[in-house]
Amino acid sequence: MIGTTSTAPADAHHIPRALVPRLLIGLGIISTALFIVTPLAVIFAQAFSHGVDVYMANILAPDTLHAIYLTILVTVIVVPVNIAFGIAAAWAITKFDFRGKKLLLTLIEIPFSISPIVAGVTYILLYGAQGLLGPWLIGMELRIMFALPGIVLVTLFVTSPFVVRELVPLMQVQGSEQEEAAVTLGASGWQIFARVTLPNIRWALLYGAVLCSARAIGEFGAVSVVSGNIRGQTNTLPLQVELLYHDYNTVGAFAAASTLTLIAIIALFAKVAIEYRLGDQRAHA
Amino acid sequence: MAIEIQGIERRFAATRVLRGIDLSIRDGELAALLGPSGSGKTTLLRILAGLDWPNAGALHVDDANWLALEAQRRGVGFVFQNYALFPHMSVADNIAFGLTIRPRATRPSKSEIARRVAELLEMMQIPDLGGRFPAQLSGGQRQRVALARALAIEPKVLLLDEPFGALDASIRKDLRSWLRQIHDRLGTTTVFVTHDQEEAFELADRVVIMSEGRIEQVGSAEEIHARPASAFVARFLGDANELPVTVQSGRIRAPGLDITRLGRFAIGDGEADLFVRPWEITLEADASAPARIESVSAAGANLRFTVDVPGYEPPVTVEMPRRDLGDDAFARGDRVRVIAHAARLFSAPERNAPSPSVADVAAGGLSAQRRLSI
Repeated sequence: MIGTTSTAPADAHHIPRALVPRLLIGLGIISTALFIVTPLAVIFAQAFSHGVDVYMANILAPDTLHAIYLTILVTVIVVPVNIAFGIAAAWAITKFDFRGKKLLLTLIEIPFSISPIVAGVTYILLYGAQGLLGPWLIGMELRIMFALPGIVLVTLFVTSPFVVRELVPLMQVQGSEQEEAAVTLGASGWQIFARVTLPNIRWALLYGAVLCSARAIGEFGAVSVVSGNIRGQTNTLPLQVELLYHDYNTVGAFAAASTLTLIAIIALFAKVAIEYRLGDQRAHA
Repeated sequence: MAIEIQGIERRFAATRVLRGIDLSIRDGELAALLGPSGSGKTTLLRILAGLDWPNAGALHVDDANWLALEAQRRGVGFVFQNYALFPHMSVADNIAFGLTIRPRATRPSKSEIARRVAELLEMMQIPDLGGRFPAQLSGGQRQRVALARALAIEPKVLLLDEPFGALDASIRKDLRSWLRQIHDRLGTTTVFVTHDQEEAFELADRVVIMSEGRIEQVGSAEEIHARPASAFVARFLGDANELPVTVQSGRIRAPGLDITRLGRFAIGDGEADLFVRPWEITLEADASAPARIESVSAAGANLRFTVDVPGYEPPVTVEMPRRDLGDDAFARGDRVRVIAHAARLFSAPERNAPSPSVADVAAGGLSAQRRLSI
């Protein structure tokens, strides 16, 4: 380092130049501490402010437990559906040429550009009692809004781009040659998918699934519109946090928030680990 | 397996990639599809494999209609230009793929598959690489694995797309003779695509030269070199002087060249291109001749001249055996008579027809002028 800078013509300026990166890095560290680490610490500090016993009591409160259960239930339904349809859409988009391909891609991305609240309201207008399909649904005695189906539907809508968006670029780079090789070797469609395509996309798929899960667990806006906020029935974990906070139950709110945070941190580590494998795979491709 | 291709046409949107291909490939033959990029050779190969389908035409292999047969059931070994190995499988698993996916009834036993893989690794001269992964192999090794994987299913027809395209020149030569040996030993009908004519002529029994979706000529290396069927082929083979001449009632008019030793050509009147190879020309000192030697250089046993003949661009290249010439027989600046001893003549339709593009340009220029005057 010293050797190269001393031979440079602008030798006299090498001290300020070294200062700039340090300044920027310092700024980065300070803002990370201020805007990310401190709030995280506050969540746990507040959650445990009255001791572990109070914390546990709040977590184990029936309404909060039910909210955790509901959130996990929604995620367990939404993520596999997204994986299945994500693979199908990515497969269609990258391996086949058809009319309306661009339109399909745009359609898949729409949830990213629409506010979740708007999505929620749209579902109310469609499936609500006064909605387009409302009378018919009431006639069939099907309850979609302010119940589990509604929550699942809006969460599906909001999270639908995650898996596809991860798969399409990777599958485009990989092309179809391996699948074609498998075809000439006599493989059936299912064999090609299971033994050639799926192993090639498994890390990208997992990555998309992690992002999808994180969003499904954390989704607030769209769900708050369609859930109806029925305690112990249709409250997901993020809604429960808000509810408890409005009840002036700070410890309860932060205890619930801490479980959400914990899930987020786990998802983050999973994401980093998968990214590492994904980078490895792309380097070999 | 004899391959019979009749009237195959293929369009991609408005582009006609294949414009009526008729070709017979004999049982056990090693054939090369040779042509510049965009000539349709790879598309034809993919149609043979069942990876693409023609818009018109017929394809029969030993009297079986292959257009009614899916790629899975054709039993074709296909080697891709970039090998298309399965990156998540070991070399041995890659080779065994075509066998392990078979339904139980026709699948060989595990030990039988292992024996076949070992045998193929041995044949490919990479016996120790079975446990490696594709990412850990060199280009030449990947090529061998790709070929082994294709051969594992005992294909009746072996198809290779630019098999040596991605390899270094030195490895290429080795692999070429080795591929020939494998072909001879197995006796499969083999078709490969290449844009490298040296590769095609050295390796193949017969070369199919393609251009713009058509077959220009089919023949052995000798046949094609001795009698190129079209101006395209003559041009594609390269290394020939292309001299614009005019033909009048069977006689060539080529001012500045001595063409008295050429026979008569059966060709219509009009513009034509005369293709003369450098060694088909001799020079004779002639102080009154218009042609003048521009440069002299040594080319092995030959001397290589470039001769400036007025009216011909670029200069004419001539090669004469050194031992037929005395020392300092010719020098730069000498005036010489250029005598052609053999040549091929093709009419030049593009110069005979009034060029529409020129007319368009003229019309465009006119309207531009009109606009200016307004």
